[in-house]
Amino acid sequence: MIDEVAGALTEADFRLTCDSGFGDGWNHYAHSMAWFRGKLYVGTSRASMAALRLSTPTPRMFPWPILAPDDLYDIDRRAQIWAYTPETDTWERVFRAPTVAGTNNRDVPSYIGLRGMAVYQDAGDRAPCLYVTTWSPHTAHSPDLLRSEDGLHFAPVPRPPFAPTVRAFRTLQPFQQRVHISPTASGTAQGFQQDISSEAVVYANADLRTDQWVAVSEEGFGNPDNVTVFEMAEYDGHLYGGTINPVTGGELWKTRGGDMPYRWEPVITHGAGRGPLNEAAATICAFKGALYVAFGIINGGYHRGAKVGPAAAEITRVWPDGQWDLLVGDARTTDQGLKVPLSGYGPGFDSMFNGYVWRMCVHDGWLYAGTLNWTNTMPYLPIGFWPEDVLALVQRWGSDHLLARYGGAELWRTHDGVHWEPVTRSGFGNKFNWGFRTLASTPHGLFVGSANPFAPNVAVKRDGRWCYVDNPRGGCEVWLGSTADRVDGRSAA
Amino acid sequence: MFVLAAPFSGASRLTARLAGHPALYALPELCLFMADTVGELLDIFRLSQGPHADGLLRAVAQLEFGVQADPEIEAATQWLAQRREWTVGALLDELARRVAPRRLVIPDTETPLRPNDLRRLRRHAPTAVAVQVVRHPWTQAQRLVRWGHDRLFIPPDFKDHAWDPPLIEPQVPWLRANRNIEQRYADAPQRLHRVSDESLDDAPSATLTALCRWLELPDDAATLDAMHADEAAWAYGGHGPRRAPYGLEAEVLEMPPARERGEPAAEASLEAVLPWRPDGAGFDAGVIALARRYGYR
Repeated sequence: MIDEVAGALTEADFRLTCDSGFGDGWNHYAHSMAWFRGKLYVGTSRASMAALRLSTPTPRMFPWPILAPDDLYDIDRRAQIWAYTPETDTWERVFRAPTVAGTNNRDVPSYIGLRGMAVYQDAGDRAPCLYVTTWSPHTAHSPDLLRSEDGLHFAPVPRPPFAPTVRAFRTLQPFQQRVHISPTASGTAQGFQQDISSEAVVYANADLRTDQWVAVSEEGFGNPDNVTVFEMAEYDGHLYGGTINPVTGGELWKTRGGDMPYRWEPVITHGAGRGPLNEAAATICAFKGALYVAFGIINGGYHRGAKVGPAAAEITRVWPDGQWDLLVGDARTTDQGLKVPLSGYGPGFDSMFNGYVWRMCVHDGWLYAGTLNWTNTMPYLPIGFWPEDVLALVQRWGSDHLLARYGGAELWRTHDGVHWEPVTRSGFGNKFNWGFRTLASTPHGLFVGSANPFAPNVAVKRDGRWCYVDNPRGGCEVWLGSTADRVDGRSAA
Repeated sequence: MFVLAAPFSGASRLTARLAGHPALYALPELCLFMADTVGELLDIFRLSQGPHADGLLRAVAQLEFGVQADPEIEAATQWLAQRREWTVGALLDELARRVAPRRLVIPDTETPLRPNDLRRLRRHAPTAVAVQVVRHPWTQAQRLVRWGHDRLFIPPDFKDHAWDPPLIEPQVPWLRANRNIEQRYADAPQRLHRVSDESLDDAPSATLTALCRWLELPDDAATLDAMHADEAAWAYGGHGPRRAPYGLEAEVLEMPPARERGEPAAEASLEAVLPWRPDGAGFDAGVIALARRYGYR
């Protein structure tokens, strides 16, 4: 640590509260997280690595990192919600997705993933409720918004008028007494895309007891290259929406709200001057008077289908007047003049493996940013096809050294947006934690949920031959960081 | 005392002048503040594509083993490896002890590029003062572009990534370094003294006298004469041995002196069209504003 500053969490402040996907390695992603009625709730996505093999185009990995049945529906992919009680340090499964009769004439899960959570009191709610956004397979119904009053019973509210190809939504943003959501994934029998939707629209509803969902934005905010509204946030009295745009680069739009549909205005276009290398506004978070927007390329930093990347993530921050700073990234001339990275860090915090910043969260006066890091997929990638300069770099580092020291997701923190320091650069010592997908600030500390799809087994090379072995460190993990238990005399402020 | 500057802004040149002062001992660039410990620093040096280790190896070879030659460079390498657990502050203290009662002068064009590294400097050298050397962005750019003309590797920190392939753009390090230095010392302006590189040509005696007085060092005529002496008298004034040949900026080691460069200061203008840019653009507004504050036109 460069400077000791009160409240800053270090790697030593974190402890593991659950491992191995809550005891079921097919819980690959801790995909959503919320603090509700004194407990931490975590929604999972199941068998993500097994499904990834069926995405279009299929990632070029050999062997496939895990051994999975040829038929995806042979895996129990019913998404789960787990609740953690800090006082007893115990986890309890409180929800498992039901099955429905699928279009393939089999029982299929209603939800294979739960990609977003928010605590919100709607017009018809007697108290704040836990709302959960879902991901449904193409053989099932459209995705739902689940509601729970007590954290034990979950039921869908009337869903938006999604087209049948819409398969998921993730961000759920309250604003001006309305809930806002946007479709995020699409799928058909021909394949699926986990991030790009068939609709790039923001829907709003002022009373979730009704199906009065209204599209409050134009398709793609009027730009057909905006293929998805990926993230939303409220900041400075406005609703902000960030897009995926593989053609000219991700965009950020804002609206004052009011009468529906809203009037939107652009804040950032052309990937903040980086073009499609800033394809998506992946996570957005207000912090100390500015709106922090992290850009990246979907699919881990390499969108093969659109031939975008590979490239590492950038972090910017936007001010109310539309001026923006480049915090982490490549210096460049922009329509706002020359931008240099104020932190001094290049893309991905100087690591080409940090494909995107997946989630940001404010805790105890600090902004934390968790990355997706694909270092640990190197053994399965055709690195012989990589550019010579990149290969030379990897050889200089040594792939074993890279995997051992940096083979996992990274968590960074800052108190001013300029000075960033790593909390961990190795997935808390577990290289199979390839992403920190969820962060939640609670009275008990900062919870960090990982994406860890290298389970229940993983491909390893032994005596020159690949084989699959059980992986006890595979499956999502949830870590809790707190200064309360420090024993070395440092301030627990 | 640290001589902080953007690359190609004259840090090595001013340090060579200070090396002649009998109360000072000037080192090459050490790149100390990329890390907190010597071990981390050695790891970074090992992975670096540049000669970042050379200055430190030359300094240790000279101060611990008495001469800069390949066997002593190897001995310095081992000496540092045996001190992996040291903080870079402890290493700095050891070097200072070796030259006491003279004061260390260390040029540094790497640390100003990164706020965290500047913060490390303040933390590991809490009593140090700093001299910020500035140069007209036109002149700085001319030298950086010329240096980069036939280089296979140019740090990404020196490029405008709006272009494909990225364009060498000297304004990037100029703006980054000078902004970072100002912000790092905003809370301690009395610890920072600014010198323009051009003043070393236009008014060398007055510039060095003012600097000596700020440092509370003798500034008599004999001392100033010593500071004007041939750079070759400085132990680190030229290339080092084969195993650590660098340690100073390329403009000192590899480029002809200013009088032979044909870059008269009169050419320097903030209004100029920038010949290294294919788009016919001039200086960035942020660069112009900061340069004007430094007195450039």
